[in-house]
Amino acid sequence: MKAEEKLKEDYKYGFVTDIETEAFPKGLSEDIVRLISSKKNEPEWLTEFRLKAYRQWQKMSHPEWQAVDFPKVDFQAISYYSVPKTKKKVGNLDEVDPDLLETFEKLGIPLTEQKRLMGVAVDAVFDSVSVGTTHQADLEKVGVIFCSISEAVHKHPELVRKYLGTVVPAADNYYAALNAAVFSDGSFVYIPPGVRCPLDLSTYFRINAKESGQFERTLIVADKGSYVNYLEGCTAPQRDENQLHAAIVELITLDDAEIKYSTVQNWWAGDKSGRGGIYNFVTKRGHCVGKNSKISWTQVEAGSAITWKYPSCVLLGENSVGQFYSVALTNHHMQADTGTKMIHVGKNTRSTIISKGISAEKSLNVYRGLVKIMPSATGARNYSQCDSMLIGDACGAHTFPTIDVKNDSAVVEHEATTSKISADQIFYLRSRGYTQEKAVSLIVNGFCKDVFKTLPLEFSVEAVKLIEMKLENSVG
Amino acid sequence: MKLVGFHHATEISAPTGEAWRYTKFALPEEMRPANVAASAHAEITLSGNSFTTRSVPGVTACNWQDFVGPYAADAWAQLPVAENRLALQVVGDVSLQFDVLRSSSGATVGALQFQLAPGARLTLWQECHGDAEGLSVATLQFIVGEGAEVNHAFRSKDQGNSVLTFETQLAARARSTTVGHVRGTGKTRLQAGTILAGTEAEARLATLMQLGGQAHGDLHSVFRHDHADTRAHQLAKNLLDGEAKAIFTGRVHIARHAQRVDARQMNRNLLLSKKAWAVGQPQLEIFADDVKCGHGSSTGQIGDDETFYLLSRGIPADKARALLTRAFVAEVFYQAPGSLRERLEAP
Amino acid sequence: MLEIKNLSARVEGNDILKGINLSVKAGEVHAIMGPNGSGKSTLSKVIAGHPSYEVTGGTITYEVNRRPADLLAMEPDVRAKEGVFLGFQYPVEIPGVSNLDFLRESFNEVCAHQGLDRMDEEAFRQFARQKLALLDMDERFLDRDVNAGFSGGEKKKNEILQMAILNPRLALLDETDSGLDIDALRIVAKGVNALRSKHNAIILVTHYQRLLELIVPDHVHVLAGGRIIKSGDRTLAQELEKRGYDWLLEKT
Repeated sequence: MKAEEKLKEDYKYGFVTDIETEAFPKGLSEDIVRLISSKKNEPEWLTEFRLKAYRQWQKMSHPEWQAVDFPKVDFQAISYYSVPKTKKKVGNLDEVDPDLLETFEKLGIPLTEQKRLMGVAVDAVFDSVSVGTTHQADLEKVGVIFCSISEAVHKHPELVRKYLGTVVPAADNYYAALNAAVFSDGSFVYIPPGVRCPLDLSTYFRINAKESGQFERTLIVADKGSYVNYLEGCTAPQRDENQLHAAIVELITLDDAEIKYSTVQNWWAGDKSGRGGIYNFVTKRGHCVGKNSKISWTQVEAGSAITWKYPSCVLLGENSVGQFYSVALTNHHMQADTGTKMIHVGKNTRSTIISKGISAEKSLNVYRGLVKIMPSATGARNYSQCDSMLIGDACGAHTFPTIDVKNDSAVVEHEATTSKISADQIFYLRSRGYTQEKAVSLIVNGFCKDVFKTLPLEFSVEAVKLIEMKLENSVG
Repeated sequence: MKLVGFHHATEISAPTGEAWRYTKFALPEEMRPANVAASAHAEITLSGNSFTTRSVPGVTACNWQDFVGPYAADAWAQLPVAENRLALQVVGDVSLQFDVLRSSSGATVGALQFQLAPGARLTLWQECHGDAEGLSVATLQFIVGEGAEVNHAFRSKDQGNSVLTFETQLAARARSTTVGHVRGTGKTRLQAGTILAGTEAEARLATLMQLGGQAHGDLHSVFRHDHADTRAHQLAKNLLDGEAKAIFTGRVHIARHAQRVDARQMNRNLLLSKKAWAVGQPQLEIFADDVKCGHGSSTGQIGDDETFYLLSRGIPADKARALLTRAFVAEVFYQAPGSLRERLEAP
Repeated sequence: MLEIKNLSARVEGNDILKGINLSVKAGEVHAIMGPNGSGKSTLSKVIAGHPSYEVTGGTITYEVNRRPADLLAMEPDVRAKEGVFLGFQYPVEIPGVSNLDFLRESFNEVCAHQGLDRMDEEAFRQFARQKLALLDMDERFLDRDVNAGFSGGEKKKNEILQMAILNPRLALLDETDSGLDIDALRIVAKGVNALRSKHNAIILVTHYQRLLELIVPDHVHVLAGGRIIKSGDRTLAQELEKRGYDWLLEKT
């Protein structure tokens, strides 16, 4: 078997689904934006929302400050809408195209009644469109709304209109504006007051079509005293060209509410020579609006040619808490420029940042964080820890935290360390019977332990396996 | 802004970019040399557009040596040209004082370079003075030969604008220690660049910006580890009262072949008033995998535990606070050897 | 000398002490034992007045000038000046402040409060020398910074040195024995025993019996779940050493 094929075998999600899709002509213009809106039968206010964002985007220019290096994206060479052609309106999951169902099953996300994941409600998004959501009836019983944004716009317009774009407005950044103009779908979650969501909610994204960009939006609103655990997973087929993924995630917690958002990312990272791979640009932000509310971001990044994302929290409510736990693994020619922003506005707010970066081969891992304490944030507390592990001598790790304090009663602490896997450690483990690979695995898992333990169980198991797989053959 | 009367007419415009994000100087159209009489205590005085020197055994004038330091492209650091520059060679054991002075509302611009012969030792005490109207731009370079050592401490009481650039290049087994105290009420930009270019080179940089009122202090530092087995320790402390602002940007760059580097950086900010503002940006760029590199940063007030410890021994709150503030400051001065430490601790 | 009634306290939103009752007379040594997390350290910190701890109920009466006074109403430095001393479990490092300065300042504050003369540096050094000798400590120790770079044993000895210098009426020693080797333990115990008198009292917080072999208590109390669940004499400590805490916890 040729080396290339062996490589593709390593990424078991690399298959392509042969299915008819309806796609727009490539390119972006006001007409395309209107077309997207009309295809989805959107109300006037939403079409306006898109147009305003498009006009904003035209005035903005591509950001230049990131450390990662990639060829300019040609925005006119991408199709902004790609939908699997369905023969009829889908009433329930059993009517979904079997090819699509099979796709998701191969990914380990079975959608059919008999086989669906226990305890996890899944909204499956194929290319830009939500294909189906499981467990909707169970959730409806407790008043939890979990459906695609497109559906929510029609069934719960007041809620969507009230919150959409309040956390990440179009003017926020270049990709936020683009997304607000052309977003196709995503998940909408609303947890009513006092409800602890009985299931973990999950959206599974799959990019399939060639030369398409995926622009999804997720909006999660946790009303007073509610709780939800949300899992995001995504994969994409291997292709030689790059694909663009520009997403927005908005989280809102009201008084005493909590949202836990976990991501295990395994996009195709490009082959060993750096061809192909997903350009992953995401704006993820949470507003802790209410008192005592809490938002936690946990992420394990192990694949995407270029990752560029900064999940952040704006801590507005008194005593609110923001947390960020991340493991970012880069290999081959990957580049990651990631980090978080914690902005303390209200009184007695707390934030914790634990970021672990592992770089191997010729990759570059950059952590860029901001802890900003506004003058009103009396009693703010932040603790950050950023650790880097370098494997091999051709990779790099950069850390660029910024700590900006304008309140004298705040306490902000930051530590960062860099280390490598020492030959002594490897030898010790080998003298106790571990193979080279297992030894590296053990050490790396130990390094990431603080982050992995915050993931829900299914994810933490997947995360460990993912890291192991990615590190194979990387340690000399 | 144009500098008139400085041998060459020199122009400088406000620098832009990430490195100067927080600090902008409001400058007049034109500035002239602010010469004053040389200081009695200092063997070398820079004021206005000229240097005044007294002869010192072991120190001889020599040709300026160009080296590409971390601030080679910085307009302020490179402002002094030709006749505004003085290069001195140091042999043996030498102790000197260097003053940077200004008369009112003018500019002082100059660059001083010390080339230390292998095995030489230089102990340098530097003072910077100036009133609220003027601008001082002083670049100080140390090219430290094999096994040579420079111990440098400075205190700036400048009430106006100043840009002080220190660039150090260390050969094998060379060592440098710089300890600085900024007490000015004006706007001070410190730029400290160190290149560790030989095996076992070691650098230590400790700074304290003690600012109140409307003072503004911006420390930008770069440590470049270009060789294996080098060490650098940095301590940057800011003690802020009133509406003072302190910015710290500390870059540490470790080249791919620079294995077994030990690089530590610590930034501590103590805010004593509601309007004080501290920004810290430690920046690590690491390309070698066998290194010990860490940085830490903490911002806050005087610790509860430390205060309680003193209270529990009968020391009242205000005395405890004063004692702990003194302790905060003292840790920086401790990094300087003997005679220089005494200078720093003296009022 | 010390009367604690129904004391409850919390820290960082967690209720730790849930109704402590304790009575200590001059001349007595009390030992407080108990499993981790029971509130032993919290109790000493509350008595000494640590600002992070909030008293939510109860009273502490402390004898000042032979009259009962409300300890909780006093600031921590005032409590120290009235003779309350806390030997920290984790003595704090204060680089930049020399031991000599720190001890002298502290000593003089206490003296001033009690109407005695302050000492100058030379006189104080002489005074400190005797106390250093008692604890087998080198005089150079005075010129080092407070606890900075001290080993665990040195830090604990430093606490006892302070106790010797300040001569408190009520000493709370919080896990003074943790991290000490046999020799250090003996020296610390020797120092504490030398300071015992019928005018002062000592509360020893400890896990282990071995300290109590050297500093023999008059009363032993077991603290668990924020309350004192059993009191006895030194034989209680011996029993705990043999049987652990479980048998007691099962009973409650």
